[in-house]
Amino acid sequence: MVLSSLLAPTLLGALAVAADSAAVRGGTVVNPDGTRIEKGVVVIQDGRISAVGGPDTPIPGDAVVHEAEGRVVFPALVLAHTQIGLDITNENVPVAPFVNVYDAIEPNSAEYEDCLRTGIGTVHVIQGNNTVIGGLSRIIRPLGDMIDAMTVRADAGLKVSISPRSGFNRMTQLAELRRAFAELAAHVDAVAEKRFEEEKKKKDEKVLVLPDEAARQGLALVTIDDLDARWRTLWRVSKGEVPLFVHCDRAMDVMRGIDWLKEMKLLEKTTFVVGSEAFKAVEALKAAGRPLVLSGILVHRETDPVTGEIKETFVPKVFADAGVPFVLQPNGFGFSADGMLWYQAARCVREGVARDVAVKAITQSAADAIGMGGELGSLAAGKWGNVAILSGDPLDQATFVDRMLIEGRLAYERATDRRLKELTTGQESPPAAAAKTEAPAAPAEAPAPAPAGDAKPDESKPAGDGSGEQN
Amino acid sequence: MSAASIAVAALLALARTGSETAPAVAPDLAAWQGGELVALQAAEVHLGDGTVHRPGIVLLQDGKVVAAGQGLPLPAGGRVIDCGEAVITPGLVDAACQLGTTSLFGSAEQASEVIPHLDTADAIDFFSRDFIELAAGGVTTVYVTGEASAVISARGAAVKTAGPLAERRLAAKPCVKVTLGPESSGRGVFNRQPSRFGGGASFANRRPTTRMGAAWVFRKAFHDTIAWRDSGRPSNDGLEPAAMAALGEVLAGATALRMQVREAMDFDTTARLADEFGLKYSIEYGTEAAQRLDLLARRAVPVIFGPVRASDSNFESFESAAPALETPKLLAEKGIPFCLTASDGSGDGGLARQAGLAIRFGLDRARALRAVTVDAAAICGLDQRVGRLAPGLDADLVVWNGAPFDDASKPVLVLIHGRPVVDPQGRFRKENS
Repeated sequence: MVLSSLLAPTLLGALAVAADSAAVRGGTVVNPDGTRIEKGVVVIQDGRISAVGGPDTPIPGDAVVHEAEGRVVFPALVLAHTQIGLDITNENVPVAPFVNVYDAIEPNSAEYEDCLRTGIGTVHVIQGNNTVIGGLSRIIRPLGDMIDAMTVRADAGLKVSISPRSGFNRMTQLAELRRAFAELAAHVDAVAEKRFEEEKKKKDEKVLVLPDEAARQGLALVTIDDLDARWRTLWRVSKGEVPLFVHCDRAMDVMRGIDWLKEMKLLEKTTFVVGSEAFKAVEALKAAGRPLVLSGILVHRETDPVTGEIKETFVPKVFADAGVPFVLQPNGFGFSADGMLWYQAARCVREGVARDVAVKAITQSAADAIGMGGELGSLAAGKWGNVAILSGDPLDQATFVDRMLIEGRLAYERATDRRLKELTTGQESPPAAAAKTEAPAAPAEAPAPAPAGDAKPDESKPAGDGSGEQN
Repeated sequence: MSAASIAVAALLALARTGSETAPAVAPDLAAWQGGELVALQAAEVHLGDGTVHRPGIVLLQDGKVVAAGQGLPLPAGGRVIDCGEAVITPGLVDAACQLGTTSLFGSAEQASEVIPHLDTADAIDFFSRDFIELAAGGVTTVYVTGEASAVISARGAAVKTAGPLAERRLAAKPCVKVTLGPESSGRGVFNRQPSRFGGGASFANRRPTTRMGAAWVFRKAFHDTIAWRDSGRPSNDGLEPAAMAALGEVLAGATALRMQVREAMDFDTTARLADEFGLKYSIEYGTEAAQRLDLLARRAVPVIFGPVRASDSNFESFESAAPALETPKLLAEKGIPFCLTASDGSGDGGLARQAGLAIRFGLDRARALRAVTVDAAAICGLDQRVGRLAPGLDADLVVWNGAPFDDASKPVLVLIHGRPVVDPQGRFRKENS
């Protein structure tokens, strides 16, 4: 009796996840902190990693097993800040917290395909930096053709820029930013007062209060639906419900950004997105202790106005030396050059950044920056089953992504990647390979054209027959 | 015994691990005299011809390599530099560099479409920052190729990227560059006459405007040259005798011919034109070479391939030609002589990166090294001067802090004519510019 009642739920549980069990076996499991397990096993159940261990780790009998002998098994990379998939990256209105990348993401963008090809399993799509207050962002899987199915987390953040957008100077930028929040406060006050009066009317109370007091007392009654749609996102931001991605192009913007965020009590909700010159504010950023996304331009160049001498600074090294974790972005987005996250991390190692810091900058630190450090960024029990099976060492330029698992399911396979094959060989590889390969032989075997004098309509061939492709 | 042993190794280790400890001994590069015998020791020495010594030694004196190999006697009274775990290769050679002249883009020669008598060397700015970037990336010799906006452009020039001015220019085999693609016509718009004369480019002030037109300019120039050579008839197209004399050298084989080709169809046009006048030629860029491998192999046409960039479209050329990423591997398999170029790229878009990409897409490492050293030198006729670490050749070499061309390695010491031009912290040394 006791035994059966214990067993039953266990068995049911096993059946329920049967379709979603997977395991990666036989490869070298490598984590961003440098730990390695030879011939390791990663078990994924119901999209989550249930076990990571040595060759003896038990694999559920119903799991889809991915053999990774001779391969490196690595957490899928996280692209923490990108505009890929958006055709236009900034709204023309300086303060536009009411827009949402949800309405603009093109699921069929070639860049998402490139994500899988280059080991990226999670993408945070957020609007560009040329704004005062931007729209809502979204974390997606770069897989699928419907945005809802691709979504990992909606409303993942909101872009705010401390650096002037085009046409603004720093003073107008800050003034605009403050005005937006002041207008929000005024709007919320008005709504609160109105709600207070409504409530009073409902209860048929006849107590007179001053408008300020009515607004204060009414605030508790305000729900998001009472607000004008334009202000709803910003209200959620002000209550700390939506994380901020605050762009500071230069070091001078970092100081002002931190001051403003402290004033708004939003510093704890902030990820900084900084330009290459912001390394000069390394101490302030360190003290702020918030996640930090670096520009894709890793080398900052400064020209001495008098001597013309150019001083170069490798930005990630400055942060690494100060012990500040950072996140790397690709420079642009491409398949063959520094548009690749791996390459950016390798550049850091080249310039003397410790390898684990460089690797975390494209995995764990990137996951932390989008608030998913507990779900993504390394291979550990409880985290999501986003696994890149690599042909070799993650930072070796000869390494390719062999397979990608997203939440335990096979999302990419190099062996069947037609586009990569075309880019590599320059040859088209049509699905119906057999039909095409025979085509070139046809002209050689075709009979010589009849002499002109003997010309007559060729009735043996149907019109427009596609010149021998049917042979 | 006054052998001064310099611990470059400590600095190399610093560059490799990012350790915070300061090197015990700073390398005394300032005191490095040209005349003394210097020995460099390293864990790996690549001679450039495919030979690798582990460990290896390179002996240098008076700007030349004295010997390179294993177990060589260290100089008594000379300087010994221990590079520790580092890797030494010959200095890199770019056979189709577009850097180092004053503003190539838009500086096209206006007087004529046929300018083989002009010399790119006259437009090179030896003080250009381009050369500093190239040297820091391990490139020690560049062949600055003719500008692409003339159909038959100027002769290129081979130069060192650093060192005393008197030693910068090298005697490469004279070589004239031809551009049949749209640059010679497309760039015409940057070549417009002053606005008071109407501004735009047209057949009146600029031709050709099509590929057909470019091919015609080529043909006409060689026809005129042959007529002038055989019967002294002046060109009715305004070709200067000097230009025809230069083309006569091309016909005689004394001056090499290089065809800038990106799209597959231009490989065919090039072959036809060459046959018409019995010319030998090499291909510059060769973006779509993978589609014409048999043609190139049959004719043993050398290809200066590259660069491979992130973007498929090429702003400069107005062409959409995209390279097959494994082209270097395919060229090697077909036995086609080739080297790699970064064109106008340096730093992360430079020649070392091109070699790294070739390795990524299947070219073996040893061949990739050759493709940016000795094979590039050979295509420019410079292989008796640079490209290998062999006795009598220039002491141009690069010390890498890891496997050459790896994404995680970089040059930490660069020597040209036996003198350090980039120090172990990757800084360019001012006395060389």
